[in-house]
Amino acid sequence: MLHSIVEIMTPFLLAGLGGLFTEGAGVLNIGLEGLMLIGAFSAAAVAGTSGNLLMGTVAGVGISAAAAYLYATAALRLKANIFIAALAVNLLAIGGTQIAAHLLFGTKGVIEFTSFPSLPSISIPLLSSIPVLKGFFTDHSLFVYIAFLLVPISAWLLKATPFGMYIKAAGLNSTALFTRGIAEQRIKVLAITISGITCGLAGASLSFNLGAYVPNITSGRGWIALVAIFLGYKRPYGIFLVALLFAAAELAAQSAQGIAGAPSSLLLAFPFFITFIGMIIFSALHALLLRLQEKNR
Amino acid sequence: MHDTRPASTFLSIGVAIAAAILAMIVALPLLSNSPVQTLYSFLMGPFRNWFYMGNFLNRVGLYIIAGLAMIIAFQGGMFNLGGEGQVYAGALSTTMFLLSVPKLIGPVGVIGAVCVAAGTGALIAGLSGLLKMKWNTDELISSFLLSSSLVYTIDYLVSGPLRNSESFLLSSSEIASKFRLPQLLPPSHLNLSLLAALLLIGLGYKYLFHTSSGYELRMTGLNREFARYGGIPIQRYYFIPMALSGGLYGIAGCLYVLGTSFATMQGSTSGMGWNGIAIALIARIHPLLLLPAAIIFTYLEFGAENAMIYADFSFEFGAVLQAIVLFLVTARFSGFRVLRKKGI
Amino acid sequence: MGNIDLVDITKYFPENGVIANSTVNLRIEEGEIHAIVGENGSGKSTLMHILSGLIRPDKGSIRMNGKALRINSPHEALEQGIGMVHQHVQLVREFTVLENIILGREPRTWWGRIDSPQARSRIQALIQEYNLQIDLDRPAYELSTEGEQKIALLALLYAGVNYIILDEPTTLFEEDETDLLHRVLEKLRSHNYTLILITHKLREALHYADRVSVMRGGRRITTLSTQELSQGELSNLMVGSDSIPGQSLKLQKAQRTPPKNLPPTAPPTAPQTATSTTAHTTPGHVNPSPILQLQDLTYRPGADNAALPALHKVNFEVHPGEALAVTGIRENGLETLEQLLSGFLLPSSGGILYKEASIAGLPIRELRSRHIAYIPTERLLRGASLDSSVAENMILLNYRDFHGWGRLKKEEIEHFTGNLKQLFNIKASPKDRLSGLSGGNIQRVIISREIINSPELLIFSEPSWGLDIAGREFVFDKIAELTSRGSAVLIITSDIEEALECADRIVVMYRGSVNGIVQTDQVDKAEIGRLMLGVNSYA
Repeated sequence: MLHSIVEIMTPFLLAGLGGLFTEGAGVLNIGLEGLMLIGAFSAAAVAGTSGNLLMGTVAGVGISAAAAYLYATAALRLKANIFIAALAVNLLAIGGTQIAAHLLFGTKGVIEFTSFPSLPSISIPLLSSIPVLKGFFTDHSLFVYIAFLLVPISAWLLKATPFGMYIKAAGLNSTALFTRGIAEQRIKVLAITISGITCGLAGASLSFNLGAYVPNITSGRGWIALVAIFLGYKRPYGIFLVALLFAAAELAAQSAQGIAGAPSSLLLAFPFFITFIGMIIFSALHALLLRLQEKNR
Repeated sequence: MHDTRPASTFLSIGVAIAAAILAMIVALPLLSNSPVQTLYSFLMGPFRNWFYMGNFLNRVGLYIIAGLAMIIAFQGGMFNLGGEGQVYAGALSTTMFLLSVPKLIGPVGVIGAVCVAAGTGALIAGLSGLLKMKWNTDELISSFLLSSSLVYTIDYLVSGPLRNSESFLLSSSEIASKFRLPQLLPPSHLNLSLLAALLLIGLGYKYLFHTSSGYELRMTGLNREFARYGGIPIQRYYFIPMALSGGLYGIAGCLYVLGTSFATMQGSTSGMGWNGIAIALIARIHPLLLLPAAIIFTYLEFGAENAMIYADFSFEFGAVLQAIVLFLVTARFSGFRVLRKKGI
Repeated sequence: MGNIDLVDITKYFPENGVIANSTVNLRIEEGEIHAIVGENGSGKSTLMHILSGLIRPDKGSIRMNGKALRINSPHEALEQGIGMVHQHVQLVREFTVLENIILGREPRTWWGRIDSPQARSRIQALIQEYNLQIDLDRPAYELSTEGEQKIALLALLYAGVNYIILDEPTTLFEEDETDLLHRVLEKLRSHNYTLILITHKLREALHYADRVSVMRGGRRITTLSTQELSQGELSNLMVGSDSIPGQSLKLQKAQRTPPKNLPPTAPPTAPQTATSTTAHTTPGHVNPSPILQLQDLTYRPGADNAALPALHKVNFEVHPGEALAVTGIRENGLETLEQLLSGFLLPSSGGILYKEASIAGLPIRELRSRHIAYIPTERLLRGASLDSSVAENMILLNYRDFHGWGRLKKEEIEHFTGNLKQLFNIKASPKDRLSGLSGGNIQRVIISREIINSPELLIFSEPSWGLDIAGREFVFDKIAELTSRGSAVLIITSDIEEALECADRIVVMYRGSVNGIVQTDQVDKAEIGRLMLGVNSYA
């Protein structure tokens, strides 16, 4: 069971970590969904036609990152609103992938490839024998382990390096960076591009796991990742936890479908709804915490 | 509140439209076998005959209401991202209400339905506002989450428990004909709701600029500290903009059912929430610019759909167009306070 | 290093229609301390913003030793060794002092980590050398303005510049008799830094600088050595009016005609002599029973605002018809007092009574409904809606009067705004966006709004902040007008001269306590200065 949870949580984790960088830089990145979709499509298209997973991954990450870089630069350079630009990316992703699918594969629905390379599962030697942690380290794709690694790496980057400091400063007071001679726009573009990279990975993991590309393969994961950032208190380890919890909830929902035959559309509602409740609980607790702090003065 | 340099306003809108049309011109040879004909149906979409014109104007009316919903939210400094769910819920509540009161006289039923739909939308959006007020929950995310849950839930309801067994469509039962709005230009869908939309523009403008509450709402949206300093009761202006916004979205859904679809069909109102945002932005979040903004946007969307139908495939190209328009329209103006708070 | 020449600098702001700098030529000599003085709007700030890379000139160039420099951003200015300490320092408030100082120049270890110990030791050395005491681990938001400017200065020293521009540095070390600023400046000079001071305070300019340049109307009028220059002469150059040479400002003011909107039954102003310090108040008309009473007001800061100074048993009263100034070094409790009075903070003990009822902790709404007006120090942030029109800003306190049920009483708004415009000399049209107005005019909009409603008590913090000489006089006149009509005015100011000019009585704060309450016509500046520094407690 833990195994499935880990599989489910990986896209959330990847997208969430990337989004954390942009969030730190003061940009609410609602384009995560679109970027993930672009990544999923590109990765599937290249991997399916070339038969090579690595190439597919590179394509997915590269194109997604390029899209992120473009929308960031265009928005910041033209002084368009970055938020709306992200909405535009989402829309473009939906439309663009359809058009590309039509042009390249003659369909706008499911793209099945004659022979899609299978995703190898790896087990980490020592860690897969530890009883409790076994589920984390046994029989997973490389994507999962990359996601795991990214957690401490992001934490370190954000806390201990100048780059992390710049990102935080960009979010808190970008004018301060400007007066110190740091190009704060470039920091933001970089942060958004990072989210493009991780979303590309997330998307690739989705389509590789499926062995095909279906429209709306991301079905809201980008948005959930966003929420995971907030619920995870904007910290990498927090995001890890929330993604874990969320994946568990989704697994529960899927089992419920299997057992009680709950209809699929209701199922789609479930993750959103439970995140909504989670948000309420979190805010209430947070407010309570603040009030307690004040009382203790 | 809107940009005091009209030249750049119209310039960026003009650029957006030009780019959209250019995109179509570029894409068509790739996508269509008869690009000229397709382009023709794109550009001349609504003008080809009264049927198209009627449907065009009908949609303009509905989009005006959606745009107004977002304008009020934005002016109040709130970001209502739950439009999709609020419209859909408005449509469903209208349908369910009218189906459950078959004995009511026509006009009374209509008024009742409008109230029910507005109330539904207001409650949903208002909840996000309340959460923000009490616990500083980000209303953007909470409204989006709630709305997405609702959309899928209503999808399920309409294709399941509430489904009309006699129809092939995934739809609820239809409302009685006495509740339906008079059609102005049959066989098109154009109905009285267009007039309602125009009326609402006037009401919206009056509220925002000619009432105390509107002044309070706008000042709070622009600078919370300023409003607090002046003695404006800012706490209630987390809830009020959201509730008004949700209520308007609900009305849009209601009028859609009353005048166009006469039932709640799965996915029928899809897109109205997002488009409301786009139109509000094109209108520089000023009510008096809603009519031209809605016309421009609907023209593009309409054209894209017609072109696609003619060229015999139904794409999400409309989505691409919308993206281009959205993006370019926001280019070059340094953003409204509320958008700035959320992003850059 | 070398001399810096600003050559033919021209800058035009289309959104204001203002020519901020008009063919300005200015030479800064290596190693000197150069002051640039001028009124608000004279262009001195713009000029230095151009030098420090914040703004790009429309025409002209900057040269060092004759060679043209490319300064298109603060980054490039810093590369050339030119840095600026702004009046409003741009900091990341959530970062610590240390982090703010090293921002942009972080030392790294070989594998990318920030090398904090190295940074710390370097900064400590700088702190010792220049006597800029500051706690490196405090979060920046806890710091006062003085602390923020220290951070900015240390950041520049840490980054390694040669030319330092200081924008209104004397607000840093207000009325500090030990002349800390002077020592810091001299130390910097001894280390071969070239210093440029932007200031509108003439006394300080003459005191600290070697040479002074006068800006007026976007032009450099002249540059003179400060050796033989007097304040009066400098003032004339700055203002450029036909003021009688040799007389002090106060005397000139006393000889002006009184403001035209004093009601006809206004009592005559007291006869003027050269030593009289209050031209405005008429002691005979002060109501003996107080309208505002502070009783043993005490505040002890908590954990999260530990930097806020404490207040100990502050006692004083304000009477209708009088202007009372509370003055002192800002860090000695002025801000705390302001926050307590405006309901932002709750007292730890003691009370604030208004008309014998407690107003401690009440929100501003409540205060306003009791006819208390409040003009905070942070006027632009809290008192203005920059994206709204002038009219919308003006009606903030009275908007209900102008909105009916969907009816906007346009004529009445016009009448109201026109009235305000005229009475307060505001150069703007009601439909203009507030952000397009000059700083001085924005201030007038904010101030006029409060005063026009004839409040019974006006709490006015730092009245002449952001105003030039003309504006300053204007505000003082208005305060006098209010008191003559029977209102009470409580002024909180760190400017002794301001207190002496406006107020009937002065409460002097020292280290959070009242160190003296004096009648204005019985003290002079030196006396108040002593009280501010803890000497001669009267209380």
